Amino acid sequence: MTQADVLHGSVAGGKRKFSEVFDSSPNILRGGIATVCALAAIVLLLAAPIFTFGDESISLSCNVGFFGLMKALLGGGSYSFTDSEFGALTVKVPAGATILILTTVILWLAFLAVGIVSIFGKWGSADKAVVGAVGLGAFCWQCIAFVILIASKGMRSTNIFGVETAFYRTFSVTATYLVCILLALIGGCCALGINSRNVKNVRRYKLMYLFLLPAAALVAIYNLYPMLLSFCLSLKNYVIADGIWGSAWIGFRNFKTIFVDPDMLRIIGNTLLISVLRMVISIIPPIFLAIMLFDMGAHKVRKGIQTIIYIPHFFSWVVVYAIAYAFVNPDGLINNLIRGDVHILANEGAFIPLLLITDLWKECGWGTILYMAALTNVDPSLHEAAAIDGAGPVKRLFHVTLPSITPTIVFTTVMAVGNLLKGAGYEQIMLFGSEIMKNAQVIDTWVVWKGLQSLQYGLGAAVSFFQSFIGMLMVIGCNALSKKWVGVSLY
Amino acid sequence: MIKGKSDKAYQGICAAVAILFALICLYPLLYTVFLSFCTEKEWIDSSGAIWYFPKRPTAAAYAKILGSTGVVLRALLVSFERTILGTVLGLIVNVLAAYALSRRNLPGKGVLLKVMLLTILFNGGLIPTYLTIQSTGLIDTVWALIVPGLFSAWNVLILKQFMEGIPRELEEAAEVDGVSVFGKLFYIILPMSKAVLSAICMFTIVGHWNSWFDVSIYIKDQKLWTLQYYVKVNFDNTSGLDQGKLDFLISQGAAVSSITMKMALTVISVLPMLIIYPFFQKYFTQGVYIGAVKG
Repeated sequence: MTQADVLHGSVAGGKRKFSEVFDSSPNILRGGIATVCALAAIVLLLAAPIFTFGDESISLSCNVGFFGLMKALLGGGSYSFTDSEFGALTVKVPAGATILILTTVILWLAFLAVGIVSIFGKWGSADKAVVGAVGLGAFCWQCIAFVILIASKGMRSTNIFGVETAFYRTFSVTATYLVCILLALIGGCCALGINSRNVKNVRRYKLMYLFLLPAAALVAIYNLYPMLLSFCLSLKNYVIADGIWGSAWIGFRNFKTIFVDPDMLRIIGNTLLISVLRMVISIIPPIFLAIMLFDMGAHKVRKGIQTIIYIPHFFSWVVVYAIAYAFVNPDGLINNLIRGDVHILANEGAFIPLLLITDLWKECGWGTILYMAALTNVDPSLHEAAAIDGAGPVKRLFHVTLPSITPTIVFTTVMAVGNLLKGAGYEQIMLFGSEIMKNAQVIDTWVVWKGLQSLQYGLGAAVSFFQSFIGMLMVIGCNALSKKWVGVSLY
Repeated sequence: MIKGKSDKAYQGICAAVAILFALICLYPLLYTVFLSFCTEKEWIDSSGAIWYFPKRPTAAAYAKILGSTGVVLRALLVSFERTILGTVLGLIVNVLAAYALSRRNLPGKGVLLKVMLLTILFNGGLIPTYLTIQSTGLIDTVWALIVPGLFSAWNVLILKQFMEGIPRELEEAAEVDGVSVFGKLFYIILPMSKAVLSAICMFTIVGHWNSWFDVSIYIKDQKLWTLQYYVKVNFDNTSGLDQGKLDFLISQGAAVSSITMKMALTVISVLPMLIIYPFFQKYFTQGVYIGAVKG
């Protein structure tokens, strides 16, 4: 969308007449975006390296650009580096790879041509379909080529020792190619999305796109780019010296490790165990606490109690750990009162109970808020009617109060199930546990202790990707269930 | 409502449980404060079994922490810096985005909302995020703690929802009077979304103040430690980071024990939250919905 804005800004400043033409013909914006995308992609493909020739064992990396590939294709497949770390070096580039790239460039040239023709409105009403089709066609072709380049065992090339291996073991596709794929997606989608109705709106809302710019930039850099990295890293064997894009692709080996490695399975088991226990703790006690608070009468006292029980939620886990430390460390209150010497913090058996107790202390009061809100909406005449019929307080609790707040309970439960994989609470575990404690190893802490600090970036990214992906499916599913059962959903 | 005996008993039980829970919430806080005022002599004399306010309280620990070392004050400043900058810049970014997205028939709105939803549902994970922050050159600057969290899809969604509920007639009337877009934003939209803005503001402040994990990952420079992380370091029993810890103050002859120093530090680190707590109390219910998913 930002391209639209830039393009627009550059053309609308000129003549007033042009803005009228612009408003009435969507093809100008459509063709303009397509042209800008195509130009950017062609410049990238021609000027930036496309492949990196590398060898893990000796940490060598040399870039191959488009013209190099062409020379290699014409010269029978051999390509010479003159300035590699090992002096002059000649490698074989398979013709298949070169042809894939050549086709990509030709497709981009076609997209450029289509975009330019469309600016001048030569096709009339058909240009939306044409530009969209070429753009998305280029996108699909590049995706297919990408998969072949990083995973196909059929395409062979020789490595530095003259041994023939799969292409992707010696050559890596650079980020340039991924950017081109994205450009094709943007160009194609914009072409399809632009019609005469919203061209006018694009002009009308140009300031709004400016408003969106900071947010869009932040999302692209700090949300979308890490997602892309997460996907790519999980398919790579990351070696620091080679960088993210220079490291070799290794297919699904990282994901296989997750399901085979006994350590990994234990970590996933731990995550599920702790999450389920925390989920139970975070749902059931607040329900009863809220009901009791609500039924206790004495409104002023209740306000005071509410003020107090919400406080711990505003403390960080560091502070909660500090307070817990004051109670349970070997010199702490509990040991001093019983004159004992119990090492609760170092005891692995006490680890999970300690997590749960501190979690209950911190979040139980806060958890009542939603239920309190639901309880105030219960019609008091229901209670009165039940009381006249002779129902005692306990009976009313189970037959009036609980059923009337069921939607809230279902909603919170369903969302908690959706967050199960993320819900182990790594901040708390990192404070209360330690790296050597087996119970303390959940997915998130593993990623920090083993993935980040021991530089197992590829496996770490694969684990995160797996966790996030399954988590996403669970939240989507649970949200749909919640919508269906009680009509409440997150978004 | 007619009240029988059983009703009164039930109310009594409810009140008792609620009050008991409130005491459980309150006592650990009080205990922390008690300890932070305890002299070393009293601590040793009672062999640590102090569960009440010390008989001869001393503020020596506070004086020592705030007076004789710049470390804590510096950490406090960094904490304030990240909290204020993060909240103000975050509000600007998110309000602008939400206002743009609350326009009806904004071309591309659907796609943008879907992308935002994706950022809520799926995240890149720690390692890719770390690499991104590294390659944007933010490691070991205070911006590593601020910039990546500026945009919050959840806050934008909530704000957008709220802004869409503001009657269009108000804005149209202003347009007739020749009010600019910024005028509309400042004089109509923002005043009307005060409640939801305050709730978002509150959670951003609390989130920034309380976070320590990002400091542990992105910050190596001790000068940029936030207070929460400094507290965390002081409770670590790993050696190697000793030069930054409070312990050396004790060896300089403070008449308080190590635990008292630590508790005083803890109290200092929660004090700002306790101070702003009453101001934000009325926005809690709204806040729950904001915090529900972010956790």
